[in-house]
Amino acid sequence: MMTERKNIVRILIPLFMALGTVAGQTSTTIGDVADGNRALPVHLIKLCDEFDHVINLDEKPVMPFSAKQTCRKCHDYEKIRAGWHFNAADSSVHPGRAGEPWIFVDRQAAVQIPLSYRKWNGTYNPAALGLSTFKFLTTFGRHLPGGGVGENETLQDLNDYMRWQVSGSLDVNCQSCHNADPAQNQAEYGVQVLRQNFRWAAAASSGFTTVQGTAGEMPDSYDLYSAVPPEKSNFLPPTVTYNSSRFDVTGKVLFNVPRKMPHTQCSFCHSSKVIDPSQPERWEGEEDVHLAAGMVCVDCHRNGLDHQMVRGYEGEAELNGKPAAAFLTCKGCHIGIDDTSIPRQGKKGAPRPQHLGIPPVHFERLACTACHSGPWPASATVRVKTSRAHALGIPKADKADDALPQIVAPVFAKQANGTYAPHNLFWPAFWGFRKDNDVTPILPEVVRPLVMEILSKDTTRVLSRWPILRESDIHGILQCLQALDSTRTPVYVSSGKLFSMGPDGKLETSDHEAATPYLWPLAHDVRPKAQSLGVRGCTDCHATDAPFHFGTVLVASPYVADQDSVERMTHFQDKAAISAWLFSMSFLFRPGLQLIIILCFLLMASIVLLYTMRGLARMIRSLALEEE
Amino acid sequence: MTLFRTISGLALLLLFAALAYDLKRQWKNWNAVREFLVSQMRLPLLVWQKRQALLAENILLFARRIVFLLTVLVFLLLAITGFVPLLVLGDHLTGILLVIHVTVAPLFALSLSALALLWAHRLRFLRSDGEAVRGLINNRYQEKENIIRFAWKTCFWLVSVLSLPLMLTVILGLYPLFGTEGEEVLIRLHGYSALFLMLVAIVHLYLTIAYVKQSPEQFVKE
Repeated sequence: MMTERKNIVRILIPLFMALGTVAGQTSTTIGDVADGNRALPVHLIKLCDEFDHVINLDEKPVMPFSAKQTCRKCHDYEKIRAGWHFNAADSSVHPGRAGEPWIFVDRQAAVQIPLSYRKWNGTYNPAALGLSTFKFLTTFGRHLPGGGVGENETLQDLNDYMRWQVSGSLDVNCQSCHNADPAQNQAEYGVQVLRQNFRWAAAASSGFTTVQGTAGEMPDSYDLYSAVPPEKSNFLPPTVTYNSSRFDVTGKVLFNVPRKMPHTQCSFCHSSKVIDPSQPERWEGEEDVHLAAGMVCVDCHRNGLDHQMVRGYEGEAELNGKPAAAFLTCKGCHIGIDDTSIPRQGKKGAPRPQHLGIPPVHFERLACTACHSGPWPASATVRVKTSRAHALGIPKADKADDALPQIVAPVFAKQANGTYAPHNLFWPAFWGFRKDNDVTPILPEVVRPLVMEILSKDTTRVLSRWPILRESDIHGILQCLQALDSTRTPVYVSSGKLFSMGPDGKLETSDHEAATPYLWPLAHDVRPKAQSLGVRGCTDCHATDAPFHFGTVLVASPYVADQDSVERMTHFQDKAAISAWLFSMSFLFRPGLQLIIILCFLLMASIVLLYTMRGLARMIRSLALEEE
Repeated sequence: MTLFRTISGLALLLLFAALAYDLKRQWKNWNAVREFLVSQMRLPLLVWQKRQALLAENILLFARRIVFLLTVLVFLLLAITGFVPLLVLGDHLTGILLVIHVTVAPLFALSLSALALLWAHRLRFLRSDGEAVRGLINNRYQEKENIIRFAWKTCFWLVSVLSLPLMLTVILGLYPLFGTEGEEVLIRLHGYSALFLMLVAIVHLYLTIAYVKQSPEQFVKE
C-alpha cells in the first residue's frame, strides 16, 4: 500500500512540475518586458524559416525566412496577432467606428462595392462576392501586413487547399511596420502577395533578399523540394537568394527596429491623394501639420504589445476599455479631459486652442476634424485616391486621377455620435437579388459577360472608366438575371438608387438602404490653425453658398440618372436645406443687427446711469438738508 | 445646462403658481379668472381699434401703448424661442428657432429702449415710493396701491438693468475676445440674465393687467 502511494507521488510531482513549466512559458518572452532602459535594443538575430529552422545559406534550397518564427523567439506572437491590423475577421472584436473598406472594383461588370471582414454598416463580407480568403489576399493582400485571414486556417476555403500549400501562409510580416531599413520594400511585399508568393513575401520586402518566380504560376501539385513539372518548365518557381554580406560570422542579421517608426512606413497603406485641381503638383500641397512639426503617426496612434492601435476617435476609450486612449484624441491632447486627477493634456507640446469668439455649441456639434482636417471644402467635392483602394505604391498601379473606385471628399456628414465631420464617400454599384428587403450581391463574373455582350453589339459605345450603360441595358441585364433565378428580384444598385423591373416590365427606381453611399470619417491631413474653417469668419460655413452645407457631392457611379448627378451636402446632415439656408441668410444682416443691439445697449445704459445718478444726487441732497 | 434647466423650470413653475394663487385669491373662482384673462387678452385689440382717438388725444399716449404691446409681443417670442428648446427638449437653441431668436432680439432691444425713453421719467422713484418702502419695513399701514406702484416701478427698472447684461453678453460673444471658457460664461450669463429678466417682466406684466386698473399714466401720476 505504502509503495503504491510512493509511486503515485513520484508520478504526480514531475507532472505538476512539467505543467508549471508550460504555464510559465506562456507568460512572457524576453523582448516583451522592458527593464526601463531607454536605449534602443539591437536586433541582431538569427533568421528562422516557417518550420522554425535557422536559415543556413549553404542549404539547398534555401528557405525564405519567416518573420513570425524569427520574431516570436523574443515576442509574444500569439498576443500580437490579435492586434487591430490582424483581427478584422475575428467576429468577437468590436468593429468600432466605420473605417475605410476594401473596395472591390470590376469595371466591366460596372461594380464597385465596399468589403470588410469587420461588420461595418454598409460593407459586405468578401465571401458575399465570391472572394475566399485566398482570393481576397491575392486581390487586396498587397496592402495588408499579413496575419489574420492570411494565416487563419479555419477561414480557408477547402477548394483553395492546394493553392495554400503552394503559396504558404501569409503570416504577420513584422517588418511591414517595424523595419526601418531604407531598403525595406513594402511595394515588393505587395507584388509578391499578388504573385501568391505568400511565404516569400516577408523576406522579399526585407531588402536583403531577392525573390524570383511566381507561386501563382505553379501547379497545385508543386512542392518546394521538387522540380518544376515539365508543363510549367517555362516558369520560374519561387526562390529566394540572400545577400550574404548582411550575415555576420554567427549567421545573424541586423534589423533596424526603432521604437517609433517614421510616418513613411505607415504611409504605404495609409496614404491618400487629393485630386485638387487648384493644386495639381505635389509641391503645391501641404503635409499634415503634425508631421510638419516633427511628429510621427505612432505618437498618437499608439499601441502596446497587444497591438491594439489607438485609432484616435472620440468614444474609443470607452469602447475598448482603455481609458488612456481618451488622451490621444484631438481633444485629449489639445484640451484635456476634465475628470482626471492629474493634467495630461499638452502632449508633445500640443497647443491649447483659444477658439476666440466661437460659440461653444460648435464644440458639441462638430468634430475637431470638421474645421481642421482634409482638403479645404470647395463648391463641389474632389476625388480622392487612397493606398488601399487604388493600390497606390504598387508598381503599375493606375496613376490616372480618375482611376476607379470613385471616392469623393470632403463630405460633411453627421456621425453616429451626432457630430458633423468630414468624410470620404463612395457610391456602391453592384448587381444583386432582392428577397423581402435584403439585397444579396451577384458575383461579378455572372454579370460581366452580359454587360460585355451588350457593349460588343454596339460598336459606337466607348468603354471609358465605366461601361456607358443606358436604361435599356440595365433592363436587359435584369431580364437575363431574372431567368437565372425566378424566386428573387434582380436589382442593380447605382448612384444611391436601386433599379428593378416593375410589374409592368418597366425599369423602376427606388431608394434602398443597400444603395446608400458608404462614408468613413477622414482625420488627415490636419491643416494649421490659419487654414481652418472659420478663420475668415462665420461665413466660411454660414453663407448661403458655403460648401459646408451647400457644397455638392458628386454621385460618381457607373449609371446615374441625369437628375441625380449631384447631391447637396445637407442630404448627409439630417438637416433640411431650407433651414440651413435660412440660418445662413441671417448672417447677411447680422452686422446690422449687431449694430442695433450695440446702440440700444448704449441707450439703455445711459438711461439707467442717468436715473441712477439723479437718484444718487437726490439722496445726497436730502442727507444734506436733513443735516441742516 | 442641466442646472440652468432645473433652475429655470422651477423658477417659472413657482412664479406661475404664485400668480395663479393671487388671481384665484382676487377673483374667487377659476371661471372668473379665465374671464378676466380673456378680457385682458382683448386689450391690445382695443388699443388698435381706438388708435385714431388715442392719436388725436395724444401721440405720446398712443406711442407708449403701442411700444409696450410690441415689447410684450417680441418678449414672448424671445422667451418662447429661447426657453422652449431648453426646457422641453433639453437642448441648445438651434435651427429655425435660433434664426427667429437672433432676428427678433434686435427688435426687442429697440422696443425696450423706446419703452425706457417713453416711461423712464414717469416711472422714476419718488419720495412717496421711499415712504411706502419705509412704511413696509417699519410695519406701518400702507395703501395697497402705493405698494403695487412701487413694485411696478421696481420691475420696470429691474428689466432695464437686466437688459444690460443680456445685451452685453451677446455683443461680447460675437467678437473674437473670449475663448471657449469665456464664451461659455457669457452664454451662461446671457441665460441667467434672460431668466431673471423674464421673471421680472412677467411680474411687471401681471401687475399691469391685474392691478393697474386705471390708465398707467394716471396710476403713476405725481
